[in-house]
Amino acid sequence: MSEPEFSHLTKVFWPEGLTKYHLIKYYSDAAGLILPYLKHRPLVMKRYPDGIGGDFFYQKECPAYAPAWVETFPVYHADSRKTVNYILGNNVETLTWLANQGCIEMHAWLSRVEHLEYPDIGVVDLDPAPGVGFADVLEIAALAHQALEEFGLKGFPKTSGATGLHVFLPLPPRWTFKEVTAAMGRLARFIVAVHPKKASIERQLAKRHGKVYLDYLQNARGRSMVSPYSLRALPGAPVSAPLTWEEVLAKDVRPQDFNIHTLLQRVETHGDLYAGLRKTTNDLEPLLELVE
Amino acid sequence: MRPFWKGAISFGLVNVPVKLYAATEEHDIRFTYLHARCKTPVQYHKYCPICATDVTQEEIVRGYEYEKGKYVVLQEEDLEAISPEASRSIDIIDFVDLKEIDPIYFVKAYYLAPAEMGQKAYVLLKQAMEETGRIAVARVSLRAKQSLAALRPSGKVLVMNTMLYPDEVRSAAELPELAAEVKLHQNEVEMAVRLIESLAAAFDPSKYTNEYRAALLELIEAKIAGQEVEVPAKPEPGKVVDLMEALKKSIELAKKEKGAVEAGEGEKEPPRRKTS
Repeated sequence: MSEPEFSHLTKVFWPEGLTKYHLIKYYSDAAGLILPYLKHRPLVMKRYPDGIGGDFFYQKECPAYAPAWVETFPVYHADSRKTVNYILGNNVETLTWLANQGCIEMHAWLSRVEHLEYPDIGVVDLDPAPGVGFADVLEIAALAHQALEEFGLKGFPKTSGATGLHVFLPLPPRWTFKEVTAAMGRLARFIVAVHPKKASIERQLAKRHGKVYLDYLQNARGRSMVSPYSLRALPGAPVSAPLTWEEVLAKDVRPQDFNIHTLLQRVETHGDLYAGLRKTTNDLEPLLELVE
Repeated sequence: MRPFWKGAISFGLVNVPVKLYAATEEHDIRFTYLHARCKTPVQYHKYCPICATDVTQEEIVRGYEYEKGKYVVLQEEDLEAISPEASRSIDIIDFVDLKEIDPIYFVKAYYLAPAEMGQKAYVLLKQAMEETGRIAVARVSLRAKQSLAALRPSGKVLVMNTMLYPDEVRSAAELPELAAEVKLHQNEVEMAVRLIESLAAAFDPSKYTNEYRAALLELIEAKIAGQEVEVPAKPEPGKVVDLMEALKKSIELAKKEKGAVEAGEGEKEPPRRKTS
């Protein structure tokens, strides 16, 4: 296996002075942490060739010039009648190569290629409308926690790294994307029903102004979620950081506190708060039974 | 005090260089709007509901709504083309009797002070106005807005009042309450006149103080002294607990209803609605 080659390492990627070097170094240092959550999952690149101040684009198809050790997996998309060769974030070389491609954010599918049509993660995606603060996100997260508990489900919260919060639910690869989406939609409706002032499942932005959007449609096939420990292309280089429920329920979370400078230190003291994700299994049946 | 404008009064061939000072100031006590729950000052965002994004100043243009929902956009250049020339002059049109101007026309007062080399002309103009008992009606452009103004001597200074244009003053004839004919008895009028005369006094502005403002300041002082001070705080969990209960109940109810329907499916007859 040839070593990845890096280029333009002094290029400024975050205006506060972080360069492409820092981007690659982060993914190299954090590889052991992040790879378990990327392995065998189709990966969507969000590339910023000129750093966070420049244009970006999503890229699904693995470029032809990729080194041979970048593993890929073909996925057929019926809607576009196309097969896309997705990159799999299977090793540290791929991760740092992606960083060298200006890929700041790592977005991955909720299923693995072994059971591509059966997701092994369900997600509660809390996405505040513009202007809605993180305090409201935490308030809805507390309701989500309660609702999950009522159905005997165990979820793992993390900051999105931007303004939102994600709860990942480990699942056995038994239900289809449609079933998981329906189950997560049912869960979201319970929450919206008790707190319609602050929670919404309206897809139209104008209709959920001032509210937290429970984007259960993120569970659909072909969607990807920002991976735990992925950097975000935002000022301060924040990271999508796993949280404890205690932190969430105490409303003691400031997403900007978790960033390229602080994340590894936090992991040293708290450990990998997502480690339990791989040891837990959930049963969606009690929730699916209530889907109309 | 600092002058905020320099120019000249002009009438006929005479030019009187002057500086302009604001003659009045507001003493309103201003409040900050806080979010009631956490006592954080609220922010105002310019928001576009279609693009679902906050809008910066550079992204804003002026539109005029000529009919409901339809706008013409006026660019900065369009407005500049018709804006009054920054003539820097107070052009006197007429000299009139002060009593002829209804105070309803007066908007804001400014002091005019003589500018460099203008001392003599200034005093001359002021004294001539005093002797004739006439005040000047003038046209002036302040801050890109043209307005009417009245100039009058007041002690050692010339005061300029900006004035409304006649079409900005509503007609009292539009008040329906004044349409009725009222007959007054001569005795009633005499009594009212005597009452007024008994309350007649010289105008002494220092007599009148803003009692509301004083009371408000006192209240604020007391609140600070009594530590009844609000600082941004973390939201209380009280309401959330109630929501938790509501959530639990609604999920339990949904499970029960489901259970009831399934129990019904086992029977041969269609499930009956529970009446208990």
